[in-house]
Amino acid sequence: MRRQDTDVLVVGSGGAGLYAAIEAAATGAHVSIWDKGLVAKSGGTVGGAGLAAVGPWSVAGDGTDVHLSDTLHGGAFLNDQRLARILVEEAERRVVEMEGWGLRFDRRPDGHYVLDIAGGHTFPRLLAISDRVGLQMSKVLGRRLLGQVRIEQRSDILATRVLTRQGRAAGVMGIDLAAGEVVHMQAGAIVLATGGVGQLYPVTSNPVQCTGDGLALALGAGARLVNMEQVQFYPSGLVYPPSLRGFILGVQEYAKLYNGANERFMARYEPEVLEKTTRDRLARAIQAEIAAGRGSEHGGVCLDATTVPEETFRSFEHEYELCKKRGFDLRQVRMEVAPAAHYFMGGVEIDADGCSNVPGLLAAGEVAGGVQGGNRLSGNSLADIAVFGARAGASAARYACVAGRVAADAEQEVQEEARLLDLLRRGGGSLTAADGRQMLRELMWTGMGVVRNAGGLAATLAALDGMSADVLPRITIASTSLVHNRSMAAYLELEQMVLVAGTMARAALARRESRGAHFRDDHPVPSEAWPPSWTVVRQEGESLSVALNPLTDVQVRELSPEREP
Amino acid sequence: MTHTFQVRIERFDPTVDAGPELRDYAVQYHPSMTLLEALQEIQDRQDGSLAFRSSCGIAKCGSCAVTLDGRAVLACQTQLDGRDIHVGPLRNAPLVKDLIVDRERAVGHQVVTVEAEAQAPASGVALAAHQETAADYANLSRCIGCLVCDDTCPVLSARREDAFPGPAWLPTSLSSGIGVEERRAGQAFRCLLCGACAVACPSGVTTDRFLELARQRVAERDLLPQPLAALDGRIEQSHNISGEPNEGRLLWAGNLAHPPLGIGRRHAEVVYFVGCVSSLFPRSYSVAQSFVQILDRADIGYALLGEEEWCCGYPMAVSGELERAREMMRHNLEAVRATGARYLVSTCPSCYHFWKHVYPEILGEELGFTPVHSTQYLASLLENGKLPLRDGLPRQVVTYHDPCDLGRKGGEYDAPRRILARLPGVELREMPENREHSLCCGGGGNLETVDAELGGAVARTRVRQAVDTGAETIVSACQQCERTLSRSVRAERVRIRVKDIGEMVLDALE
Repeated sequence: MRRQDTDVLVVGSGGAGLYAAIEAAATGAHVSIWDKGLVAKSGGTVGGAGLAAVGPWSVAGDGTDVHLSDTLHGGAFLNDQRLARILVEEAERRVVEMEGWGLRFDRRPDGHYVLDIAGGHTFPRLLAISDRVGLQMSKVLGRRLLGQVRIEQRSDILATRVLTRQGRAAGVMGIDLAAGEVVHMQAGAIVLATGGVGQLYPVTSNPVQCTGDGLALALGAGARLVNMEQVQFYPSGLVYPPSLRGFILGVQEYAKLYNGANERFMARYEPEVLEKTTRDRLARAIQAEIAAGRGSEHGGVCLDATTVPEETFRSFEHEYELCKKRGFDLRQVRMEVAPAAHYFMGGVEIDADGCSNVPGLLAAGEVAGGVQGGNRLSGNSLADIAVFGARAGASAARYACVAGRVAADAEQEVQEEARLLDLLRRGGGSLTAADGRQMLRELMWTGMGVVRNAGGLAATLAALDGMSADVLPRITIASTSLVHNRSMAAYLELEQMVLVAGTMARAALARRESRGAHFRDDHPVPSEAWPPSWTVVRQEGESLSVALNPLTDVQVRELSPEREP
Repeated sequence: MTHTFQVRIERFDPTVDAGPELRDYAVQYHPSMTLLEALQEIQDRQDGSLAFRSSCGIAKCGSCAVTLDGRAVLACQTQLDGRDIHVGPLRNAPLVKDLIVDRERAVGHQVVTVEAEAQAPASGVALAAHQETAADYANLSRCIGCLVCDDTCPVLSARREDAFPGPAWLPTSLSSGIGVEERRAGQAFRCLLCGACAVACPSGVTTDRFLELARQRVAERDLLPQPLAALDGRIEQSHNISGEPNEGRLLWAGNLAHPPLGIGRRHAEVVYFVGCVSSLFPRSYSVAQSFVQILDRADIGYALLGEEEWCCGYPMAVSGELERAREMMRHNLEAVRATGARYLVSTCPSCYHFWKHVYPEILGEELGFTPVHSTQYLASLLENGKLPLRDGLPRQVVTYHDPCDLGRKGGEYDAPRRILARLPGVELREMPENREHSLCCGGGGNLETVDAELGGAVARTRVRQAVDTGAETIVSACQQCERTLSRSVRAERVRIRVKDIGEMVLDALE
């Protein structure tokens, strides 16, 4: 086992992790950044299209109050309003900062930024680089780590446990797949930036690394996880061809939908706006059509973008080309789509500085909860990772500077190392991790999908318990060397996925209303109680506790239903 | 329609294996299946120990680059057709395990570039993304850092990594906001400008353009490597690359039994633009000599410009001094127009490419005649029955080397093959690296002026590929390729001949 120490350890290197590392290093702290894949290349950031931000470039009438209002309405008022206000107010600063680092947003011939409109935003306010803002961000942010003596970047390290001492985060253990050894990094502060949970579902836009690791790590350290039931299903993820399954078509914002009977079915669900409704409503409508047996050949509905103007397609260059190369010209044929797990609004409870309830443990980006409330508006995620990644990094460095490092409870280190090495020696079983993943995904799609109910959730929980008891122990570990042992990594991820899935199902059971992206057909309307509540899940000894806590510090009130987007 | 196909994978476990071993897996095929799908299928259902990288699956992260049948590709973007395949790791990066390689070399070059930028005063940055045109930035922003281009680069493949950062260096650095300071930009002179990187790029980045741009910026700052500055000076003075008096432009014609009929003609439908190398370098005279003999035998009314033929300007453009070539281009254009020609034929692909694609753009007008490469012209003559061929020629096994300027830059892969198909006794064995995948001979990009040894290392690789086909002869359609490959063949004492396609045709004439 290799032991190292650092001031700030960042786990995950999408936009939030990168920004956290940059900000922490800027204070003079020593920073280590881990990714279980290639640094800066293994998260959802690279796929991000546009960044929503208000600034001097905004159109007349727009302002941070409007952006906040849009964000809260979009979030079904489940947002932590203070965090949401910080998001909309500090996005400008991060935009300008990244521009100074070489990020160059698209401009019109008159020099003004191209500002895209998107669902839920009152004004056009998404900055663009074709549809590559995320890719450019990850490159520009990744570059800031280069040539810096105080920043250590490590690809191929899978974090498996946050160690503590007397309730304070002290370090992280994991397996270093490149070096082929167990590693224990002692850290003054730890920032979790591990992204979302899409890979818990069979159809997802998320990269393969998005297995919810940080949520499992946080849970194990005693952190509170909020709103774990809030999964955003992007209405139109491809279901065919298989190599593009889960790939979301952004052009859906401008396209028409038809069911298997060639009916423009949105006319039944949203007669006034048809497809131009919120993503969650669209996802439920599509899911209802599929469930009612009116789906397309491969189990989706048909997306028709054939009448979308060419100029609009320029904002969707990448997806157009991708489909075209696979033999599908979006401007000529319809594509089969179904709701894809796309973004996760729940996560580690944080304060304005990214701190969780566990001292020394912070979180930023998609793994953190509360900023986006019950549903996320397009463009708000790229803003979120910049704003809160930066805050968490700065705050982690400050904490590490003041609190210093502390040795983890020795027993925890011994336990975790033994556990990992035992697993490595496990050898052949009757199942593979792929089998386990498939089982989990089917469970989640059925019981924790677009539409939930008490019976389905209870069944999901029972099945998850069954997986822990009967499936996980039977899974093969295909090699006894740790070097790029994908089989071991897949098993460890699956363990974490089962744990996280359990928290999600429990939260969904606890929220006996439909709010945000969480829809229950046995409680199909939002509760009348004001302010709305958060579900809060926490590990207490051997079991999980679930609470429903009303939001505090609610300044902006929900407006009348006519205002609902 | 389903069937299984074989996926042969190079496996390597550093903890137990001495070297890579091949393992075969049978996979069920379906249309539109990608290589990544096949690899995932194998890992999920057949062999959980298989190690490879992937993340986004949609060509944004650049993690999944591997080689398929020897060629670097993005696994998530490569559609299979049901044939058996051979999958291996990238070649120009150290192997770690199975299909996973170490990317530190490429990252290391970015770090060096960052450090150099930090040392440079503001004006010392030759290229910076925010200073480029919107179109160039849009193109740069497509780069996903997959390293497919590095794997395709003939210079990196020649294992002289210390000399050249590789093609990925510029687009990854620039699009990440790293400014490339001028001395570092000079690394671009070790590129062959062969264009293989741009062809291989899965994201449509015109990588070679940025390497050309780097040269321009360096030239603008008067920092050209001395040999290139000298070359351009020679060209400007003598109107040719050798610095010899341009009056000697027809010396190559002196040894022929009959003087070429095109000499002295003032008006003709065709101008034969010989090019500096064949005109002035004795080892390459045979290219021009063969061609005029063919033209004379076919009774073609063509003209030679003699000393009015000046260097086409391409070497200056390659050095980054395109503007300096303008005067010569203007002269050449007028000289050709004065003949009333409808076609300008050249045996030199570089002259051909330059005339066809750059002259009209730079001079801002239509030429008034059509540039044609000699292979296109010869193919047409053969197909129209203008060149009767002998019977009973001995069997020759040849392989054809696609010159970069004729193939990738000029778009012509077929005409030379149509010629070879018509020549009696000739059996063509293609190298796997052919057409747009052709490996540069090592003679391009003015590299031989700057680092002849590096060019030689590339030539060695190409000669080896040719020898591997079992052919006795390498045929090409470019005097520069022929020079470079011949030199390598002699140096390596390899048993293979190098011939120009025009010579092949002449030998076959009645």
